[in-house]
Amino acid sequence: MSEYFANIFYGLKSFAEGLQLTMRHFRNRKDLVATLQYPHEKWPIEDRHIGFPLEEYNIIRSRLNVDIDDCIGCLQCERACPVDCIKIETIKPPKGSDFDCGITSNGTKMKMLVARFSIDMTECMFCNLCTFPCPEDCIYMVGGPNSSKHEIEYEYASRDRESLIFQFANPSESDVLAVGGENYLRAKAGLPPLAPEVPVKPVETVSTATEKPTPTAGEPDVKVLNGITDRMVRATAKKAFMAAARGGSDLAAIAKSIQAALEEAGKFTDEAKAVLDSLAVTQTPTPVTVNEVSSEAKPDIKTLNVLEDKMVRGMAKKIFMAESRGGKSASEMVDAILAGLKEADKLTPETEAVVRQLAPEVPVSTPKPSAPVTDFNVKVLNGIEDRMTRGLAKKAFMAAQREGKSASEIIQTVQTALSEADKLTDDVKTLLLSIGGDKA
Amino acid sequence: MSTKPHIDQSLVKTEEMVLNMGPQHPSTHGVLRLKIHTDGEVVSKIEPIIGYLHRCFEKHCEHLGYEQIVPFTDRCDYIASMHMNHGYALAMERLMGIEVPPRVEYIRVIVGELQRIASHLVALGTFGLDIGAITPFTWMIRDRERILDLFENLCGARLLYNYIWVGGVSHDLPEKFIRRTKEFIDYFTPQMDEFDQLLTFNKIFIERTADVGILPPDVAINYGVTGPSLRGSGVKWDLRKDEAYSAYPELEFDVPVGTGKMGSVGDCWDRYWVRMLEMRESVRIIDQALKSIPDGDVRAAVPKKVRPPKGSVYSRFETARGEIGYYIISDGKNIPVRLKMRSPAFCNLSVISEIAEGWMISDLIAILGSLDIVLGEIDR
Ligand code: SF4
Ligand code: SF4
Repeated sequence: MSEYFANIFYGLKSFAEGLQLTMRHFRNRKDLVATLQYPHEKWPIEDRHIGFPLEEYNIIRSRLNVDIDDCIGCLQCERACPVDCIKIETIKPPKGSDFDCGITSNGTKMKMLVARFSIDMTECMFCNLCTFPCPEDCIYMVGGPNSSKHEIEYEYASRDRESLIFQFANPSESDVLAVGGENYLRAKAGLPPLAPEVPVKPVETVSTATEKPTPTAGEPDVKVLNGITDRMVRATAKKAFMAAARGGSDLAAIAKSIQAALEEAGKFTDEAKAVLDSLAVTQTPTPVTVNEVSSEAKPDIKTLNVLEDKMVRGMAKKIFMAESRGGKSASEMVDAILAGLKEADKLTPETEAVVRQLAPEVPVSTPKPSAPVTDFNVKVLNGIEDRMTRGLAKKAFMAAQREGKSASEIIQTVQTALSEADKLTDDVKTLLLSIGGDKA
Repeated sequence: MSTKPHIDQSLVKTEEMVLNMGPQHPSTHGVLRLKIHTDGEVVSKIEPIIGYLHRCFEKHCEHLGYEQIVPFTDRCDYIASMHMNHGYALAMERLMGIEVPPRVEYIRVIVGELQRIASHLVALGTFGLDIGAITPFTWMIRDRERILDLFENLCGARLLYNYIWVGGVSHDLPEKFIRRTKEFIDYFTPQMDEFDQLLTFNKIFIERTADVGILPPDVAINYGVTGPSLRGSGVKWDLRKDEAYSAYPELEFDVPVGTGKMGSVGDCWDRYWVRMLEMRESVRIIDQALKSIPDGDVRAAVPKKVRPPKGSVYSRFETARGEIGYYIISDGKNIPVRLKMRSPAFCNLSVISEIAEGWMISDLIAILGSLDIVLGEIDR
């Protein structure tokens, strides 16, 4: 009998003990919990937890890294990649410009600005083929023998795909502009490229107000400083220029800040002074006209950045882009944006005020460059099937265009070049005639 | 045994049952579906259904530069990637007439034999696992890990190496590689005896595999079976000997064949035993190669641009699973016109319907395991 009760007692006791234990774990005591809430919590990574000491590896396939300051934009790595997950975009400074792209740590002079260098690590298969051809050794797998350049990274897991697309190049907008990448920025913003300056300069027709037509009418132009011959001085001056221009100063103020910067560096030579004077003089007389022309010609999407609500801003920008692609004038654009916002029931008075800033009080329709001329670009040659022929034709085309020849002359040049190389097939001839025909 | 008298057999209706084994089945070693017609527990017909891992390897190659194909060959037989690299490099070198420096040949043989051990360890481990022996699997994976560490030391990757290039290898051996490989061999040789004790001569294992799934040599040859599965049937055919390439002519080793030690020639146990013996031979080869490896520049013969002349080549190579063949047609450009791969595991799998019919379902698992297939290579 007593054994019977003892058993019952023992059963109850063990039950209570078990429950007690469970309760103890319930109180979220970190030291008792075995589950790790990855990725919010992680085990610490020890210095060395794979096979051998890190420096004894030939290489470790962990993650790609690019020392973008050393990258000369030669695209060798992009070409080597079997899955095309490296994307590079470069901007070459136009001929005659002396934008300083810098020097790599191997002493190679860079010839272009790398505007974009992205590697999609979700596509990368870690084959390591891209690292071999790099002439500057600036793309490499981190860790192992490259630990001195970048420490090893074992995990870079993430919750969204975007953060696995590594962007290595991030040039400032002013750098891109200085190197002549206006069209690059426009393409990024979804705008059509500026019409090619040859053969007709559309800007000239607009800016009759200014005596001396500068390439971009009235906008402070860093190129003026190219008159300074000493390289160091020029660089300092340009830097000051860009800083001041970003701050929105007018030309006189810019000139002043450049002077200050140069003086500080003890570089204010007579020559620099002369150039600065000319800068202030040429631009000051007609600041008002200039401003009017520029704001008239190009309503600036950045105006919309003042909008606080993200949704509204996004919507407004979208309409802006669509309209500007359609080549609408500023006032038409404003109307379209307002209508769009109203439809979505997002139109507050403040928003309206901001949007109206896009167009000045008296809207003047923007003169557009004459269509046929802009249409006539090298793309018309893409109809040529044979790759060699196409390349040849394009080359001749570009050369002729640079010389400022007219459309029919360009066609003529292309034709001659092809027939010289014995590549002028009937197909190509017909194609050339068809373009030449309706443009002539 | 006699049937119970009170059942009138004429009233019992029996019919074949069709069973799907896979595509997600632990013992199919990948994504393979076997459509099995069963009569009770006996397999009467098998249809292997493949293609779940098809990645258009051959077509894809027609859009890749010759150098860029190498990492994709890795992904065919991912258990023995070095062999896939090597086979491709060999084909390209024959097409382009490249003479490879002796050091490279030795390195290739060393990593190739290490890879063969690693691959056989997986094959034998999972074979044991399939028929219920769990411990040997963990032991074998443990030892394979050491080889993977060596490979990582060598080229930074543990599975898909992209190491053997056309004309050379991507990296020279790291400083301590030779010493470490020696250490590994010294460690591994007694391990193989332990495996024998634990699995090879285990009575249950022998009962499950000996005399099961007998593959007669003539059937094997007719189906194009190669590698250890063919040698298990007693056919002495090994490309390393019979069409010696790389540094193999200078090295001494035997080609083990199945002898029917536990049952009859060509049964599952023989196929297992051949792999076991091959690991010992591999150790022998590595040992010799480490001793006589010459100096030299491993990238000396790597062409700047791989641009073979017009023409075509068919080249075969002995991988851990059998004969891999690459047929490459070049028109003188930097990408191939056509690349055809002969996959050993594909032919080895095709024989299954011949040899597994009439065996029980549980024996089918053993037979499939003994053929050592890799689906990445069958489907490509
Ligand atoms: S490692 Fe291979 S896949 Fe990855 S970016 Fe480099 S070349 Fe491309
Ligand atoms: S190969 Fe090197 S230098 Fe050339 S683009 Fe790539 S990272 Fe830059």
